[in-house]
Amino acid sequence: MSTGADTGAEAGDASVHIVGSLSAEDAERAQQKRAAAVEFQARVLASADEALDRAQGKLAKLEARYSEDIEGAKQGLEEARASRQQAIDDYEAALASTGEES
Amino acid sequence: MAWSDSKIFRAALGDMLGNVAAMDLDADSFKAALYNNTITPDNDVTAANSAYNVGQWATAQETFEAGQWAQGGVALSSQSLDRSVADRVFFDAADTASGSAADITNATGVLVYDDTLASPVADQGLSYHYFGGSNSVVNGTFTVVWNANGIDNFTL
Repeated sequence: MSTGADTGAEAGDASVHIVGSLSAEDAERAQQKRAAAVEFQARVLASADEALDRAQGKLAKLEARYSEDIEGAKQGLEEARASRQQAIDDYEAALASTGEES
Repeated sequence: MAWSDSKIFRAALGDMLGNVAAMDLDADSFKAALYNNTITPDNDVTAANSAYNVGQWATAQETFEAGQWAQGGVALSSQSLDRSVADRVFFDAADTASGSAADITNATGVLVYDDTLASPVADQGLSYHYFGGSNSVVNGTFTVVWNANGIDNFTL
């Protein structure tokens, strides 16, 4: 039965290809990296907490703001309609003053 | 052309001013993603092409190391939209740092994008920032030091 080393493995075999051994320096560095990753991921988690708070705040802000915006837009629409009607009235009055009809 | 400057995306500013996208510099969460020197950023691209993992900002050109500087970028912290200075409005944050044992190679600049925004364009880009050259670190901390005038500064 093949050991599977280097040249591949038969079904059922375990294959291990060791490129080199881990030196004490490498091991220390790997440990540093793991410790740094814990610290970094803690910061990522804190950022995720902050992002969640921000997202909730944004939703509340948009819900409040857009209800106000929609009301404001409706008022703007009514004002635009009234302004247009006033413009029509003024135009017709100006036209009438010349004796012509629109 | 290569990466040679820092810019705010035209689409980001236009979409904010035109109320096309709810990109909210007060409320949204932004991330900083590192890229190598093989890209040519363009501030005039569409909103879609300014987004993370689209166009020039594809992950193939991204520089990261899991557990030290995440793929997709690191969230900005202490974000603020400052309106308190005459003739200026600026978006700022604390300097953005990796983990303390990072191996980062050839980071040439950073994309700042809106990680909260999901529509009309998800992860739309706000701006990109050139480091003045490629930077690497081995088993150390990679820190993006934002400009003293803020990440994005609008002068009136």
